Amino acid sequence: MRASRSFATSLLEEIKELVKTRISEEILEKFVEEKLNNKFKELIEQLGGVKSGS
Amino acid sequence: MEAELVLENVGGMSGFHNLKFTKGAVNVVKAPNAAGKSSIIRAIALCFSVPYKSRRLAEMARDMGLLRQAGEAMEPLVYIGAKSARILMKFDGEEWKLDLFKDGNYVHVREGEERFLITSLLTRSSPILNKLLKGDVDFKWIVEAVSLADRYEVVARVIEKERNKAYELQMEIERRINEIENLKKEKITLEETIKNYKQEENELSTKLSELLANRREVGELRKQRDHLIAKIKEQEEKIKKFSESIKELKKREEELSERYETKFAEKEHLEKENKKFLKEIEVTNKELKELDEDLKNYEERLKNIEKQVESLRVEEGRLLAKSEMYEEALKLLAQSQKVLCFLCEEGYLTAKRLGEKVSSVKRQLSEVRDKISVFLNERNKIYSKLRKRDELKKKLKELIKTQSEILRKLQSIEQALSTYLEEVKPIHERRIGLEARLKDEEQLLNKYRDELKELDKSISELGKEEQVIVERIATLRGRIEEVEKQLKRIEKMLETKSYIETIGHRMTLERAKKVLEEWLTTLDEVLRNVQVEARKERIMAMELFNDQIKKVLKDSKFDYLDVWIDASNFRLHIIDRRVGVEVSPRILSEAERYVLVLIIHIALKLAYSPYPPFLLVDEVVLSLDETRRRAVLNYLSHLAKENGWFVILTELGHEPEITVSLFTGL
Repeated sequence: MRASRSFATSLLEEIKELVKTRISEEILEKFVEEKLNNKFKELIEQLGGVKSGS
Repeated sequence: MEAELVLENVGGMSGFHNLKFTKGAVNVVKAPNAAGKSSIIRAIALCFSVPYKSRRLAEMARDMGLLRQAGEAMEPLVYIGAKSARILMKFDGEEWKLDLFKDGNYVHVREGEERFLITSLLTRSSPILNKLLKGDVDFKWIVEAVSLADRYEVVARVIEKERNKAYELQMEIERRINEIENLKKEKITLEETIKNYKQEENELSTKLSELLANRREVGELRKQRDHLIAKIKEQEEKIKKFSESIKELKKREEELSERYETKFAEKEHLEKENKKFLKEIEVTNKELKELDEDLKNYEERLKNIEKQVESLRVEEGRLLAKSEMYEEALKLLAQSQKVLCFLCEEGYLTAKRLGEKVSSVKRQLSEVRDKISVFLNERNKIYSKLRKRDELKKKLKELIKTQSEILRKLQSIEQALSTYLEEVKPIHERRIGLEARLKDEEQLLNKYRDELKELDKSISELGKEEQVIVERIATLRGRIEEVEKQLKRIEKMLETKSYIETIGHRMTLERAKKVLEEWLTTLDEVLRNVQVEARKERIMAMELFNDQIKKVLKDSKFDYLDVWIDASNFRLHIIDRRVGVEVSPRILSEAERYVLVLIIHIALKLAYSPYPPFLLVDEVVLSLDETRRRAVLNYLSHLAKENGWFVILTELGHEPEITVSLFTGL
């Protein structure tokens, strides 16, 4: 719970910085998608998921 | 102050067109119908608002005829006979240039303000006007488009999409868990069925043996049969034991593999950490090396500085004493008219000479102090670098300690991984060996069963009852084989369905369930944060709009209307204060509606995009009666002066050319 809160807070700070510049919606979407994808992978690896084929 | 607009092949106008506008004034563009007035207004708006980074505003630009709609072949602002159009606007020493090509591409020299479209451009196709015409007072879209709420909504949509994907995966896992439960139940039923069939087969075999015992001629056959049945039973027992051993070994192997996978993931994580720390150690070492280089001979340098400072301090003391002496002498000269000059080590000095001496000594004193200060700064810099070096050394020590700890952990994991491999290898080999033997034993059992079938066939020919029993036994054996096949298929399915794959990772269902629970909590947390920010942005935008429109209504003397956006639902409220009732924009007269829309645009412009300082109004005020027209034009003129805006209006003209005149007051 604490880890998810800390991730949510730091991601929001990064988003705020980008949003302030009125960044393009496409770039913003890609940025958030990539951040979430990396976090999901990290979570899977932490909880014992194994890369397919390894 | 003027703005110069150069248009090349824009809209319906071929070739070059040059227009000049005056700052702080209402500029009226007059031309007959279809001469290009609207194109001028739209071209200026496009030049000041591209590129559109918001999809909503890009769509608005298409709806207002600034850019082509999807599927349209031509750009509306490029002259039909040309390949491209150019819009060039110069004002306040700035140059805004946009080259718009027929295929929809454009090149701009500076980034515009995309909100200019909502705040500073009023035409008959303005979305605010069209919505009010339909009685639509939902202003949430405006509040979102002018604030940063739109961007936060984009982020929220991405998170919701991810959340839906996670929910779908969660449902898939639940479905699989249920499926596995059903398969396990089915397996138990099948095992039960086999057990029942075998029991019946045993009972029938016993009965058959009893019947055959009574027949002398089948005595030998009966003996053979009993012997065969004993062998079959023994073989079945043997196979059962083999299967159990294989199952045990398989379970153990799976447990070890799972432990291995967990340790492997831990190892990968630690390797990443190790890499990170090594990089940091490298950076810190580099910094330390640079500092060491900087601090070369620092003790000698410090000694030299101390020596220089000491010598300068002596000089400073000497100069201070001299200065005090000269100042004292000056005071004495001032007190006594009789003393005309002062005798000192330099001889007799007059008051004027003494004054000069004081200035000279002070100048020298200041120079000496400057030098001292330079040396002290140098010394402080050396001390600060020494402090930084100590900190870096401490940091490096910590980093090396942590990195060594990681390496130690890695070694221990490597050791554990190799132990697991050593442990799993003999188990695996033993299982494979047992499986091969099981196959042989199964083949032997089948051989015995075939022999029994043949024997029973011979015996069955001896009596009707025996034949019925033998047939039943044969049927039962056929069914047992069939059910055993089904059982194997279910076991295979159970193995396949116990794992799930997502984004290139394989997990057991239990683990995947845990991961998704954690992931959904994280996504909910992120979404909540983003929604709070979006709400804050909307509220701030709404409050700013409400403040501005109140002021604009008052300044424009249209304050018989009270207009505001409601915080609870972002709907626009219009109250006619003369009668004290809320009115729908649909029942307002056309003129009143135009005035209201103009006022809303002005409030939005004042609040959100005062730059570029242009307000563009296309043919709207034409429909106003003389009183309102006068009030609106006077107010626009006042606004232009007060804010340094270029207000540009278009009107129907009777001259064949496009002309720009200034509104000078009615």
